[in-house]
Formats: sequence, C-alpha cells, structure tokens
Amino acid sequence: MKKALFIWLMLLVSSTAFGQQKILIYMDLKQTDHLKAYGIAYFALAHQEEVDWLLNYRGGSFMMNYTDDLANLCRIRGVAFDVLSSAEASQVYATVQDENNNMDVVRLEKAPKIAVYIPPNYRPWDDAVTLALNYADIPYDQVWDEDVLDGKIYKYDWLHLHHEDFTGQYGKFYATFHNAPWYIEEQSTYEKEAHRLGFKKVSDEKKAVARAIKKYIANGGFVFAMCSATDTFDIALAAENTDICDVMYDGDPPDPDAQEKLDYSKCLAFQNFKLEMNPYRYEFSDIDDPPSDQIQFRDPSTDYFTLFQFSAKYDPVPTMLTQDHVNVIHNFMGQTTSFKKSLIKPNVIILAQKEGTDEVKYIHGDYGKGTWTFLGGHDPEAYEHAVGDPPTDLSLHKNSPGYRLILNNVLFPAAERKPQKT
Amino acid sequence: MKRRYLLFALLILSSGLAHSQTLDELNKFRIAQALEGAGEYARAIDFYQDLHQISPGNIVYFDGLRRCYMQLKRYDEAVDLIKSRIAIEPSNVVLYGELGDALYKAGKVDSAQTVWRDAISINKTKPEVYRTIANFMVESRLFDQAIDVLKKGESTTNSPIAFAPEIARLYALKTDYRNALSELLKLLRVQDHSSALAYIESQIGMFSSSKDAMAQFTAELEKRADDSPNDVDIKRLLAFVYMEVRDYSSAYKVYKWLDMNSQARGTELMAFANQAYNDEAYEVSASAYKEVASLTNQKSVLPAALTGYANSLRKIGESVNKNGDELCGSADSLSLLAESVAAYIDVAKKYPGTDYANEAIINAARIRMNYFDDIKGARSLLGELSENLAQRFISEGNLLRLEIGLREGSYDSVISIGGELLRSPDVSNQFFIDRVKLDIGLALFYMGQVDSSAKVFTEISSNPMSDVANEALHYLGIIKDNSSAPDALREYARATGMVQSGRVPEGILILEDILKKFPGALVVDNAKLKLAEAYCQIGDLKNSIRVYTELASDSTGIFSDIAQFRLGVIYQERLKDSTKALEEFEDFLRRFPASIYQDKVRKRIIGLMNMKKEAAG
Repeated sequence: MKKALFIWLMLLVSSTAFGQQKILIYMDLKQTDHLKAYGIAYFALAHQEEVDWLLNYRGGSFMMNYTDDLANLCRIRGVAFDVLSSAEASQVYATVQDENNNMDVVRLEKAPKIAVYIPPNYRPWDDAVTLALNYADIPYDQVWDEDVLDGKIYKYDWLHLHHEDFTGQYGKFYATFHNAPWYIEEQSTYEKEAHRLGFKKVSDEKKAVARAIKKYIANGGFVFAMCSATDTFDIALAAENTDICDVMYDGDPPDPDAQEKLDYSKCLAFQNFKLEMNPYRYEFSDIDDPPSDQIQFRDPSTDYFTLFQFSAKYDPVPTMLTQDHVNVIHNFMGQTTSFKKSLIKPNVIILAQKEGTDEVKYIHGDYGKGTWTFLGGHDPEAYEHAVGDPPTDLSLHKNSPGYRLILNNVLFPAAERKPQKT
Repeated sequence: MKRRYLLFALLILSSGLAHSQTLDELNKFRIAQALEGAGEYARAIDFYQDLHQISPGNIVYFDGLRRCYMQLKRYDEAVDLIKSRIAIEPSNVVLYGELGDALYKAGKVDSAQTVWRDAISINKTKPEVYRTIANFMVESRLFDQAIDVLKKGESTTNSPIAFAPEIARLYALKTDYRNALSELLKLLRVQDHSSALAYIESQIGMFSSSKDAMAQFTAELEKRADDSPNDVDIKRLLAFVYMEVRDYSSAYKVYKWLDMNSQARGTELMAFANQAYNDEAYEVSASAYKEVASLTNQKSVLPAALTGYANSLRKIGESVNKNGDELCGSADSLSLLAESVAAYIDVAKKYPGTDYANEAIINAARIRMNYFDDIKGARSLLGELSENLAQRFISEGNLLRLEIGLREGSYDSVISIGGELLRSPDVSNQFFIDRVKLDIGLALFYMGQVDSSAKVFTEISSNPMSDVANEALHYLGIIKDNSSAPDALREYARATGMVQSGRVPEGILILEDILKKFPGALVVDNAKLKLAEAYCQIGDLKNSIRVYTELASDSTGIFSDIAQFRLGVIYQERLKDSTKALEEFEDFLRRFPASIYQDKVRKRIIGLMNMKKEAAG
C-alpha cells in the first residue's frame, strides 16, 4: 500500500514538474519588441504550433508551448518572454478566464495566408503594412489588378489594400507632381494595364477591382485598408454608374451630376459624403477629417486618439483588433487621416477616435461572411509623411502602438471562431 | 427747326439705348463668367447662349459657350457651335483642333482624326499647325498620334529637329525612354552642340530617380557608342549616365577614352577621380588617380593625383580593417595600407617641403603607428616634416609625436613636450589642448602616477563638449572605482602602459600577478579583460579563450557580456569555427538579454545562419 501510494505521489510530482512548459510573450510595457512578437506568433502558427492570444492580459500576450527553437528565435529576434511551468501557465489561464476579468483566451489555429495589393511601381515610402510585415518576418504575396479580377485572391485569408486610389485619380497628386517621373510612369503603367485588361479608362478598371474585392469579403475574406484606400474604396463603389474623374485623369470631364448619381447603398463604411471634384485639391471627398489643407494648424505634440475598450468575452473581434499596451496613441496624418463620424454608417463599429472631436480613426465591420477594417493615416510613426521621404525604420520603433494595430489585423484571421456568448 | 430737334432727340435716345444694351451685355458676360467659375455650367450656358446670339462673331462668348458645353459633355452641341465658327474663320487651326477634340470625346474617333488631318492640310508649311493639333491629341492622351503628327511636321517643313524636345517629352510620357533619348540626340546635329549637350544632360537628369528610365538611357547610349565608337558626344553622355547611376567602373572606362581622345592628358580623368572619391568609390578613384599620374606631368595636377591615389588606398584599407569593440578579429587589409604608406612616401619624396608632402608624411606616420605598430618608422617619418609648416600640420605633427611617445613608453618625454606645448602662446585651439592634456594624463597613468593623472582627467572632463571627455571619464572611472586598492590600481596602470607600448609579454606577467596578489580587488575584472586582449594580441588564443571564459562565466562581473561576445568573435574570425561561434553567441543572447551588444550579436548570428544555409545549398 505504502509502495503504491509512493509511486502515485511520484507520478503526480513528476507530471507537475515535467508538464508542458509554456512560453509567455508578454505584450505590456516590458516587452522589448512588440512588433517582432507578432512575427514569433506567426512563426509558431506556421510550424503547426497552437498559439493562445490572451486578450487584455498584459497588453494582449501570446502563450504557446515551449520549444528550444522558439525560445532561441525569440532571443535572436530580441523578443522578451518568460518560460512558465504548467502550473504557472494554468494560473494565467485561470486569471484570464475569470468571469470578473475583462479578458479572454482566443486560440489561433493557423497562420493566415496574406496577400498585399501592391502596384508594380511600388515604392518603399508607400506602405506601412508591408514595412510591418517585413519587419516582423511575416511572409506575404503581392497581388495586383489582374489577380483580383481573376479571383486569385480567394487563395488568401487576408488582403491588405495598400494606399491605393480606387477612384482612378492617381492619388490626386496631379497639382504638385504631374511632371514628376514617378507620376508619369504610374499613369502610363496604370493605363497600359487597364487597356490590357479590356478597360477604356483606369477609373473603370479600378471600380471593377473594388467590386471584386467587395465580393471577396462577402465570401469570407478579411480586408484591411489604410489611408486613401479606405474612402476611395467606398467612393469607387458608390460611383459605379457615374464618372467622377476630370479630364487630366481619364481624358474627359466628369459627369456634372456625379454627386447626385452616387449610390451609398453600395458602400461598406460611409454614406452621404460629398465628392471633392476640384482636381487641384488633394482630397477625394469630405469623409477625410481633418482635410489635408488644414493639417498645418495642428500641434503634433498634442495630437492623440483613443482606443475604445470592448468586452473580451462578448466582443472578441473588436477586442482583438484593439489589443495594445497603451490606449492613447499618437495620431498620424495621411491623405485620409480620419473619418468624419457623421458620414459613417450606423452598423459600423468604431474602434478608435480622437477624443472630443468627430474624427474617427479606426473602424471595422462585417459584410457577408467576411470582415473589413479601415485605419486612417499613412504611417503610425511618421506624423506627416511626404512623397520622397525615406521609409520608416521600424527597428527604431519596436514598440510602436500604432503599428500594433496593423499587426492585430494580421493575426485576427487566424482566430478560431467561437460561438457568440449570449 | 423741328426736324433738327427731332433728329437730335432721336440721336440722344438711340445712343442711350445702345449704351444700355452694351451695359446689359457686359453684365450678362460677367454673370456667365461667375457662374462658370463656380462650376454652374448649365446656368452659365444660358447666359453665354444669349451673348452668342447677340454677337456671334465675338470669340470670347463663343469660347465660353464651347467650354461649358464640353464641361457638361454636351459634345454634339459643342460640335455644331464650333462648326458654325469655322464657317466664319475657315483657316483657324485651333478651331479644327477643338472640333476634333469634341468629336473624340463624343466617341466619334474617326471623324476626329479626319478633322485633325484636314486642319493640317490648311497650311502644311507652318510648324505651329502641327504643334497645335498635337497638343489637342495630347490632351486626350493620344501620344502616339501626336508623335506621328509632329514627325510628319518635321518632314513636311523640312526641319528635322523642329519638334525634337516635344517628341522626346511625349515618348517619356509613354515611358519609352530609348526613343525619347533618340529624339534628344538629334539636337546634337546643330553646330553649337555644347549647349545641346548640356540640355540633353539636364533632361536625362530629370529622370535620375527612375531606374527604368536610367536603364533605357544607358542601353540606348551603349548601343550608339558601339555603333559609333568615335563619337565624343555620345561617350560624354554615356559617362554622364553612368555617373548618375553610380556605375563608377563603367564611367571610368569612358572617361579614360575621353581623356585619351581629347588629348586632355589626365584632366578629364582627374575630375572623374575626384568625383568618385567624394562619392566614396575608393577602388575606382584609386585606379583613376594612378592613371592620371601616368598621363600627366603638370605641376598643378600630378601631386594632387598622387595624393588622391594614396588617400584612396588608405580609405579602402581602413574600411576593411575596422575592429571596434570586437578586438582580436582578423585584419586582412594590411597590404593595402602598406601600399598606401608607400604612395604617401612617394609624394613626400617628389614634392619635399610642400603641403602635399607634409600631409602625406603625417598620414603615413599615423598608418605605420596605428596599424603596423611601427613606432620607429612613424618617428623617423615625422622627422622629415619641413620646417616652415602650416599651423594645422604643426598641431597634427605634435599630437602624433605625443602618441608615438606613449606607444614607445617614453612617458617622461610625453609629459615634458606636452607641458611645453600647453605653455606655448601660439596654442589656442581647444581640441588640440584637450588632446595634449589627455596624452599627458595617459602618460601619468601608465607610469602608475594615478592621482596626478586623475587631476588631468578631471580637468578635461569638466568640459563635457570636449571630444576626449569620454575617454577621460573612462580612466577617471577606473581610478575612482579602485581608489581603495591603490597598489593594485598602480600595477594595472603600469601593465596597461606596457601592453599599449608593445611590451605585451611583460604586461601579461604583471596582469597575471595582479590576479594572484589582489584577488579581491575591483580592478581584477579590468585586469582580466586586459589580459585576455593581450593574449589575443600575441596570438595565444588558448589563454585568451581561457581568460574570456572565466570573465564570461562570472555573472556578477561588469565585463561578462563583452567577454562572452569576444569569445564568439574569436571562434568566428580567428578559429573559423562557425558552429562554436554560433553556440557562444546564442549563449550570449540567453544570458545577457539587456546587454548593449545584443544587436551586434544578433547580426552575427543571422550572418552565420545565412552562411550555413548557403553551405547546405
């Protein structure tokens, strides 16, 4: 009897002592490299390791099984972590799943396949998302118009829209840059591509691409867009049956009744917006708030926006998208900086806003079986980013809370779909 | 009489009516303009139509009406309007251009082309006709057709380069840069083609940020250079393009040819060499300077070329031979530095007493001392400095003498000469003063007079902006930390002096002694680090590794991280054992997550892993 008891005790001790150890990659202010931490989580998923995203626990930490390779990788990439015994890990889970805590565990199941919609004349300053993906060592494929129109994007779980102008007005850079070699090349490239794909005008082609992407969302795709890709996407959808481009963009004047012919029911996020038809003004519509020509009156040192808090247990999706180690973040400008609140559809979830104003920074919504997320601004670590500026060096911004918002969107499609709590 | 009064009254009345009619028209015109400016084209049309009816010959009313029709895409009405105007002015080419534009936008492409063709036939001999029609085509982005029209214009008017810049621009808009360049090159046919050359270069330069454009320009010029190997202008443009894309090796070949074929005897090549040197293309600049030296004997060029050659070799040698914190890494570049020294000595021999010679002597002495530990050689070179030196050479020469004194171990002489220099009334440059003080402080330290050296270091570090404040603070820190063990500190200071003056084995003995005699002293860690460095210096890697391992394993030591790092470096660079190096670096990451060397270690790990992957194929 004593012998059996002894053996049973030894087994109990050994299972406790030698139970699976865990790596906890904490994401609070103690983390040395938040952005590469997402890369570690992605790496683990890509190597068939399960990753638990501990929403609201120490800034949205990641927990995964300990392996020497993962630990080594963390060290090589400069990501801080703790090694927990199975008992310690159980304690963490208990804390997270406690009903009294606004926390929850989301199991990430597989590494999402990522595509970035990038034009052939892509330049490094163009895109914060590719900067983030490259820095975090998260692989992605590049797609362009033909891939979208041919349906190749259905191979991917997540599509990022770069800072594209879906209205076919070449970013409305005409006034300042129409003689610049890059602008000339861009227009030439886009026109050749449009003609090759059977479209008379670039604007017609871009509208077709926008509709195809909308269909992709409806069929279960996840789409993320920043800066001008946000409002121009919806404007292109609304302007399906009218011409909003002036003669320098498509060779003929715009439809004089273009404003009246907009169909807001086709938009994902916005409604009742007024187009900016002046080709010399660097705006697409009144969605963008503040307008680009008012930015110089802002004081960058006092310009912030606030992330909203959601219930981790009842609203896991917006909670995932707003995981961060701070909830007040430095604002950053862009061609489309923020969205005017009065022009956002009522069914859209507002994730972040500049306090005391109607400037909404970050929004999310469902469409069909998929979802979309829009983030205003061009580069979270460059308050004003002009054409020709060098790309941001993310090794100098390893803990960027703004860039975390982008990377939250990358991992969110990997989440296991739990039944909604009622 | 009555008749006269009646006539007079009628006259007054009619002039009043005429005046009010004119006023009415002016007001309507102003309203029309305001509405058009506000984008209210439909309302503006009503006013313009009225005005046009009143005065159909008025070009301003016609133009306003036409513009508004076009803006509202009422192309058929615009066409009718323009046709009615053409009936009044049948030879106005602009009207035909506008008619073609309206037809094109209305989707009647063939009719538009016909109209534009007809416009040209109105007056085939006038260049403006072609330009006007081409401009309308460009507005509709019909670049190919605009190019055809302009080329036809050149041929019909027998002016082969009349529209070359415009055609080039159109080709550039199509990103067909090869043809754009071909058009521009036609401008070289004119007699005074030096300004044409400058213009072409400026046009090429506008596209220097476009890789595609530069690649096409290069390809086109290379082809033309092959077809016409003796064409100087083409070669000059090719050299320009190579420099724009920073292909210095290719530019060098072209500049050599240019120099030879223009009998420049090195002048062309010298300008290129200077540019390449400034752009840090030192290997190319070295070759170019050497070539210049063989081509010229001009007094104004040759010494500069020889100096440039020596400077380039030095830059290459220094960039390959950076050690920094690594220490004990390998140095494969000494042969280049030796060549550099030889080149400097050559300059000094050929141009004695000149600034070229003095600068060369100082550079050569510095290289001998810093890279070859050849103190004697450095001292003997300094002896060749001329008597009447410019002030900057005096200062540099004196600093170098002090450094030599330190390296030789002639500390008394350093203190004495340094003191004299500080007392000299000619010395006012603060940088120079601080450097001299530092050397004095170091001499005192190496002699074991740590208290006196502390006073000097304190003086220097009182000015935090001084270039040598950090160095002074470093030694001050060692002195203050070890003030409770003065004997150990003195021995350490002496040992450091011996090692730095080349008496490494003696220094090693003293350092080993410190470890035995003063095991508990704070300075022991400093001594161990110096000891490991010294062993490495004499190639005793086994002992170097032993001491670094001891240091690294002491988790409380302040040098454990740098010791661990240097272990990895020795395995990687001296013993070429990448597996062991990787082990040591990974151990570093595990044990020292907050070390300032983390980034360097990660870079080395990634480099080693990439090498492994390449080796595995």
